[in-house]
Amino acid sequence: MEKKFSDIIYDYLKETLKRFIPIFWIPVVGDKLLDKVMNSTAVGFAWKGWVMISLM
Amino acid sequence: MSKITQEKTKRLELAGLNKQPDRVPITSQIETFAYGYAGTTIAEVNKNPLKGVAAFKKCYEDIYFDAFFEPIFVHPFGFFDGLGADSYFASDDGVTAQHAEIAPMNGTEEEYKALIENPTKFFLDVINPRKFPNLNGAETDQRKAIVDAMKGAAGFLVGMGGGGMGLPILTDTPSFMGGFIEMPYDNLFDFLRGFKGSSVDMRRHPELVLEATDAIYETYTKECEKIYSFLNALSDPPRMAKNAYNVFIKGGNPECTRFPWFFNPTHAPSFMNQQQFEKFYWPTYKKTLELVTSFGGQTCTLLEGEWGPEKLELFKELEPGTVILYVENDDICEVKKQVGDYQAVMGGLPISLLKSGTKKECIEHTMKVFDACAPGGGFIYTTDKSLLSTEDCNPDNYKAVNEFAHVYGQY
Repeated sequence: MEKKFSDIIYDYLKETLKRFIPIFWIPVVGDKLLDKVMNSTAVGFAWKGWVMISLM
Repeated sequence: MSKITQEKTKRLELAGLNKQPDRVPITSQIETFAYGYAGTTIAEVNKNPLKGVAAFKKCYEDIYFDAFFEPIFVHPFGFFDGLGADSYFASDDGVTAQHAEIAPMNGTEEEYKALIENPTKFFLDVINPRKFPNLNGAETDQRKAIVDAMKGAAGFLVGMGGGGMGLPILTDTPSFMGGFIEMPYDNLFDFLRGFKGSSVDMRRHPELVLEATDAIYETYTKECEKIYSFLNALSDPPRMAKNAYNVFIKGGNPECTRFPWFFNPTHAPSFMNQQQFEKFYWPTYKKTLELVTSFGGQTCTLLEGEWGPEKLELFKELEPGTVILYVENDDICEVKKQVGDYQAVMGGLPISLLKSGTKKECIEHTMKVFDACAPGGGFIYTTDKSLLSTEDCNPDNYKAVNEFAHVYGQY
């Protein structure tokens, strides 16, 4: 099934964070932490920032 | 913050709260006019955002202002270019910014239901790909478009950040824009259904339009204003840290200050009759204005077009000092008479007069407006419209008017 844009940008953001922040490289714990970060308010703000600008 | 900037800030704060400061504050409403005035273009600024900051700096140094509108043009062309969109473009003069009407949502019941169910998901999954050609290819192409857009946005942020922090220091003048609001109905009108589509929808399925504006308010506008309230503290690191703790750790709301204001250009109201305005626009408009007040902020709302006294009467429902009514085509002296006991008013200087009138005519007009609007405070002087093109005004008139207004406006 074709991926939706929200999935593509979510995956892209997650992979980018994992690539540049070493704490996320730790096996298991790093992945759990990354999931937590992806669901945090701060990352939520990043989503909304994209939506706000792209809607203009 | 320099002593002069502090004085100007205090002047703006008091006038915005409908009180009397030491003199009538004068603000800019300069947009891409600055580029032409300083001899640069939109294309050049896209390549080097600091050229844009330098252009705005020149305007704010040459013409007297107590506060400026923006440090660089507020629309990130580079972001849209990266996504292959032509929403914003420069006119043939290379200076005047324009935007095309784009209406990527169709007015079917199914689309409205999808929007109502989850506005953010609808914007990302349905509207983004329709609006941006570069989000329609393979996943690798879409990822490339994301990177290109982010690069464009980064250049823009350098200009916004550099100008936002630098210009107040370099010009002893604060910015009056501390955030931005697009009203829920205007999201539908401006970015989703367009003029024709939204006019049809109000008649064809009014209940869905109402549900959609409510959904946009509840799940989108509220979050956007949290972001802007958070950013409102950028120049105040201790408050920024407190906001970060409140929002990111405690999951609460940020706090913002009364000044700088949240800027809100309204678009649909002047095309609506009173009944439509009260039904479709006012409820979420009022809620949004009250939301900003609840965060500690204040909104400067630009009443685009002509609103008329009936719509203006509704501002009396708001707590006094909630908004600054920035008047475009209504008679500002009449607006002040009608709602001046409740809210501050802003505007009064027609750009058509600045462009075609003599210095004497511009100054006589300024005296007339000040005599009617300045007594008791709650009045801010600025142009009735944004300056976009080099042809929009005669800079010599503008300099003369603001110098005169600064002196004549002393209480």
